[in-house]
Amino acid sequence: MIKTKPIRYLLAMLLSTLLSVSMLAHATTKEQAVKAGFIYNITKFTVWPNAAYEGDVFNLCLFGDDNLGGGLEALYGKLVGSKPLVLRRNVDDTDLHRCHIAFIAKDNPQHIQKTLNKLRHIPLLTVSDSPNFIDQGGMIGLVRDDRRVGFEVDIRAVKAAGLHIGAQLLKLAKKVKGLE
Amino acid sequence: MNKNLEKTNSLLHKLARFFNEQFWLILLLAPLLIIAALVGPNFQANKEQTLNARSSSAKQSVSIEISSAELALIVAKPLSELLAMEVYSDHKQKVRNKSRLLTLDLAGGFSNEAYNQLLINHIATRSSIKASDKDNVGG
Repeated sequence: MIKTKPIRYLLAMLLSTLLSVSMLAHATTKEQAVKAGFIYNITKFTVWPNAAYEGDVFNLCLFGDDNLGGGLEALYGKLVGSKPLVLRRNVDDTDLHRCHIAFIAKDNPQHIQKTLNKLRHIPLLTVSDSPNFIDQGGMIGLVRDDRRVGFEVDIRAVKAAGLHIGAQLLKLAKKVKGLE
Repeated sequence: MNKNLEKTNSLLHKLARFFNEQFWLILLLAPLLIIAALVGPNFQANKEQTLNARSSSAKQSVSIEISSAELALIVAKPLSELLAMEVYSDHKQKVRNKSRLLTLDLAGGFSNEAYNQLLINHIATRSSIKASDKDNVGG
């Protein structure tokens, strides 16, 4: 029977695999979607130095395995200013200067510190949902307080990278570190 | 003795034929089962069960899964709306509400209109309770 109709079996397997993958692809939680929404909104209140804002696209670079459960894929093609947002994975060290935002996925503190050290002195905004991110030298930490998501900002780290964040955004932050 | 052997043999043949005929079903389900086994534990971990210690009796909260359409809607929302959005729901409350509506539906044999009205009333009641709670907290 297997020999006579192998195509039917192959099709069945293919269909089943596609079904499984599509089911998994939609397993984004509301929390991850809200965090992705935060990242997009933050771009509206951030000003990059002119030299860093060259190019036709706005690069959101991903570090680590998790891209908010696929939540960041929803930002693909959305306009930041006049530039379409593009997601970049596995960015080479030589191309880091092309990133406008670096999203660092939840990881152990040593890995996060290593990534932050690599990104230091590059005019990009570092964002993560890892706990205590701004205490490790990150710029914007996405945090959950009870049932809602919020964000924390280390304004000193933002300024050190040559970026500017609007006062409207700072007003909405749960915590602003480095305000004089 | 021979009869028993024949019976066993016939049963084994039947079983073999069944598996041979239903082989397509096994092939269809195999990837699903493998992926479920691999991803299942991670997916559960991703739900990040949290304990809500607002009241003395701790309530269990679970994250809400959304579709890709909802995802697109959420990422398009302004910051103020995102800040106000509840990303976790009280699992027990959700289950209780569902079972309550189901029980009413089964018992009453409601029409669609009546069922919809019931839902609207239920939501309105919840909203008014929330509003009065806020007033009390504010006052």
